[in-house]
This record gives sequence, structure tokens and C-alpha cells, in this order.
Amino acid sequence: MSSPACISMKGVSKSYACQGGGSPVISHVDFHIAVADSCAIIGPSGSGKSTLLNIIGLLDFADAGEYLFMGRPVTKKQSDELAALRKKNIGFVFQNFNLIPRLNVVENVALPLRYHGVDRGQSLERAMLMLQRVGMAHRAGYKPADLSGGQKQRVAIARALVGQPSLILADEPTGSLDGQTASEILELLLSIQKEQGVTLLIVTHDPLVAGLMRRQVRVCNGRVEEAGKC
Amino acid sequence: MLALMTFLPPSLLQVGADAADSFRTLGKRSILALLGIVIGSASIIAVINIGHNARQEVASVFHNMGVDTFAVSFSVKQGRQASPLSIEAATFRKLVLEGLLIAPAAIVPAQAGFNHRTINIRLVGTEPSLLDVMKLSLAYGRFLHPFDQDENVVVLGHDIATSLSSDGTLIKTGDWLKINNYLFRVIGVLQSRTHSLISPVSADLSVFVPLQAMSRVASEARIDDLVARIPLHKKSENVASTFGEMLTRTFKSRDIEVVTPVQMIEGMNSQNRTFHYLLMALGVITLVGGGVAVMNVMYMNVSERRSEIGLRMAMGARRQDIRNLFLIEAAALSVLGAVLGAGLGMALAYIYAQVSGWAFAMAFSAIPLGVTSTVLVGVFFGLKPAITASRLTPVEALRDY
Repeated sequence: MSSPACISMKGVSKSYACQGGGSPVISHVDFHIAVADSCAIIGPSGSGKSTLLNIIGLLDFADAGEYLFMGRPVTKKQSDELAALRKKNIGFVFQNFNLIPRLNVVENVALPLRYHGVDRGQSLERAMLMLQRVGMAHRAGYKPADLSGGQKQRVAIARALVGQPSLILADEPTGSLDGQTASEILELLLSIQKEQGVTLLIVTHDPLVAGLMRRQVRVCNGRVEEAGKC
Repeated sequence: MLALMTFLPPSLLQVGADAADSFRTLGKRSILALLGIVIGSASIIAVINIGHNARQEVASVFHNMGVDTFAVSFSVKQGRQASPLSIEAATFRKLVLEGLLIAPAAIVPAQAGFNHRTINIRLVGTEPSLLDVMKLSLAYGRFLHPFDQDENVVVLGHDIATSLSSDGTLIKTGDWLKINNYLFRVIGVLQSRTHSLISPVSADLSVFVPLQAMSRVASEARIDDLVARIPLHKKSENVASTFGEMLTRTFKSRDIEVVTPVQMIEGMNSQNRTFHYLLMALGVITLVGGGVAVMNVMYMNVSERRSEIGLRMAMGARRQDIRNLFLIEAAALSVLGAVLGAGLGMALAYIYAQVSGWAFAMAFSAIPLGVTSTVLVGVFFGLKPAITASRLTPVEALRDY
């Protein structure tokens, strides 16, 4: 018996308006990821990886096709409903960390909990626990500007996990890091994925990073294929 | 429990904490916006309070003499000559209008000398009735009496008596005062009293002599003013106008102008209103300028924090959460400006009252009206940038990365 699908897409297309009509970025994409699986989306720049990730992460709408997120159709959901789904289910990790410079480390990690209705004291407690998990508790009071790239990404991972999501979407999480730091971050992501049973989806152009995931899919000419078939 | 909490919106306290966090980032840029808001708020609060103090001042001006007193000015018509003072004085004594108290006044500048000291005075030739008409009180001695008409006697105003009493010699009744080379016997000194705008006679700065005596000292003196007091049961407009008509018939060589307290109050109120509207318009313009500055600062804020907006949306912030975040920041900026403006406005109103010689009293409505209008303006101008921020899609907002 196969695992239930975290993400299930069928015939999903997306195009952006440009002079002379729409320019398709992804076209008739069929894509499924099982709960607690790990998967890398690879492909050259401009191939549509990020567009696919935005649709998967409910940040953008598909123009056509059917998208079931955790078994529920989301194609026709309103923006507030999508926000509620993101809040409950998805943690984002960005290439450039996206930490808010004026907040310190623990406040950055606690930020998503503000939208969960958790009070400030409890948010900070939970953020501290998550910082301990990623090995950054000793830098809780630091500002992001005082951290190294690897430390920033650890904080960003803690922030993505603090709301206990079922899906982690990481867009080039090691793109701004050196080789040693990048492998530490990937190790951390994979250990958390296994430990907490979350689904991990990474967008990368690095085949070494992709190789650490259980599955690799390639975005090629706007279509998604299992790696090696394109 | 956690599942339920995830669907709840952030509490107002959390939104406030969020706004306070990001408000720190506005920094120096917000000072300009704050300045506009502070000046606008201060202008409105100062205007309301100055208006309040002006009204109180008008009320106090008429408190001393009462609204039952009115003044008449006589000016000689062009090409005509006034009758000699003694003749006009006799004519005045014959004027009767149902118990109306009348006191003519011939006022000339003069010099008074006492104890080797000479000062400039306003010499007022008048009748004994002036005491009752102007409700004057004596510090000591007595006022002019009908029997004094042929006598060289004077009653001194409070400030004149004080000036002449310096150097350790106190002027008293029975002393002789030299006025334009004539010696006058001091028969009384008046208590100090606030000058009423309606009265042509400033009691504290005047020296009062009988009209007949005045004609001896200054032959050119003419009755140019008249102060009258209306009996309590009469209405001032009717009595004043009837009396004005009577004077016009009696003194054909003179232009008669009657000034009543009501006219005076209306004139002062009209002046105050003009001033009030002018300052209010300035306040509103400044406040709107401050509001536009708030809008600019908030637009810059939204633009600079575009990626943060995207991040918050990715975390699950709804459009209204983003709108409220920026709206509360604009409101916080406005509240701060309004509070600082309230302090500045009150200080300005206080300084204005001191400079004008008015009593300062805080207007009950000034601070609530000023602060509320300022905050409303700030929120109004902060609304558009906040809505703009909330209408960004997560992808648009994150595209900067």
C-alpha cells in the first residue's frame, strides 16, 4: 500500500503575461509527493523550478489543472484560505534566509507563531526549543547581521519548523553557503525530516544536493520528469 | 489546541507588538512626518485654547464696567466749529433721558508737577457723575462735587498718584499739584481699576478736574467723549440709539458715534473669529501636510519591507494582518505626533496668553479634539499605503529575493 500523497498535481499549467500573449512556464505538470518523503526539484535556471515551488507552496495560483494539497483541492481557494493552509502546514526556507534584520534570532524564529495566535511568552519559549534543536540557542539574542551564513540558515530552518508544519519547502537552501556549511545544513534538514516525519521538498541546481534526497525530479521544458528521463 | 490556535487571527496585543517592532525601523525618516503632525496638532490645540482664552478675556473686559455702559464720541464736523467748553458743559447738564447717567469728558494731554517731579498725564475735565457712570472707587479723599465747578481741585488716578508719590513722598489730599502752570488741590485718589475697552477714559492714568477748571487750564479743550450708564431695566440698544439721536439734534456741529458693549463684543468676537479661522486653516493645512508626510514615510516603509511582507504572507499572514500592521504603525506615528503636539500647543497657548496679558485657562475640548483629529488624519493617510501593502501577492512581494 503506497503512502498518502502530500502533494498531488495533475495537468497543472502556469504562464505569465507578456507582449504578444502568455508565456507558459510550466505546462501539464503531473507531480506527486508522498507524506514524509524527501524530494529534490532540479533543473537549469529559468526552467520553472521556482514557479512550481510557489504553486506547491500555495504562494501562487495555477492557471489550469488540479492540485490537491494534503488531499484537499486548493485550486479555487481564496487568498485567506490559502494563508491559513500555509500557516498550518508549510514552512519555507529561502536561499537568502529572509531574516528580519531589526529582530533578534529568537524573535525571528518566534515570528510565525504570532499568526498562530500564540502569546509572546509562549512563542519565545517554543522558539528557544527550536533554536536548541538547530544548535543556535547560544545566539538567541543576536541580530541576524552578527551571524554567519550557515548560522542564518539554521535560524531560518528553526523558523520554518516552529509552527510544526507537515511540509518544508526549501528554495536553494545552500545556494549562498560554502561546501562544508552547505553539507551541515543539508544534514540538519534531513535529520529533522526523518525525526519529525515532515515532507521535504528542495529546489536546487546542485546535483550533489539533489542526490541526498530520496527522489529527484527534473523540470525540463516546462514539464516535470523523474530525473534521468529528460 | 494548537490546531485551533492556528486558525485564530493574531491578537491586538500581538499586532501592536509587531507594529512597535517595525516602528523602530522608521527612525530618522519618520522625524519629518512627525514634525508635520506635531505642528498641525499643536496649531489646532493652540487655536482652540487661544479662542477659549480670548472669549474669557472679552467677558472679563466687560465684567468690570458691565454691559450697561456705553460710550459716545463727538467729533467736530468738517468746516464747523465747536462751542466753547463752558457752553457745551451747560448744555450737557440739561440733557435728561429717563435717569440715564451721563458723564462728559474733555481730555487733553498735560504735564503735572509735584515735589520737583514732573510727569505726563491725561487731564480729564468731567462732571461728578463720572464716579457712578464708571463705577469708580476712591482709595482716599473724595471725588469731584457740583460745588467744585469753580475750584481748582483734582482727583488722581491710581498710577498717577503712585508715580508722583515716588522718592519717599506720598501724595495726599490737600497737597498742591502744578498742572500747566496752575495749582490744583488734591482732593482724592482713585483705587486701581482695569481699563475697559469701551471707555475713552483710562482711570489709572488720568487726572480728573471739573469741566470749568479744565477750560481755564486748556482753553482749546472740547468735550469729545461721553460715558453713559443705562438704568438696569432699560435695554441698551434702544436707550443708546435714542440718546444718540438726541445728541445729534442737540449738537448740530458734531458727528455723534455711539459705541455699545454689544457692538464692541461683536467686533471683538468677529476679530477673534477671523483670527481663529485663520489659525485653524493653518493648522488644518499643516496637519494635512503632516498626513501626506506620514503617507510618504509609510509608502517608503512598505517599499523597503516588501520582502518582509512576502515572508509574513508565506508564514500565513492574511491581507488584513498586513494592512493592520502598517495601519497601526501609521496610527502609532500619529499618536506620538498628537501627544507631542498637544504639549507644544498648550505651551504656545500659554505663551500667547502671557504675551497678550490674558489669564490662561485650559479649554476642556482642546486636547481631545486636537489629538483625535490628528490621529484620524494620520490613520486616513496611512490607510492607502497599508492597503497597497496588503494587496501585494506573496509571489510579487518575495520576487525581490
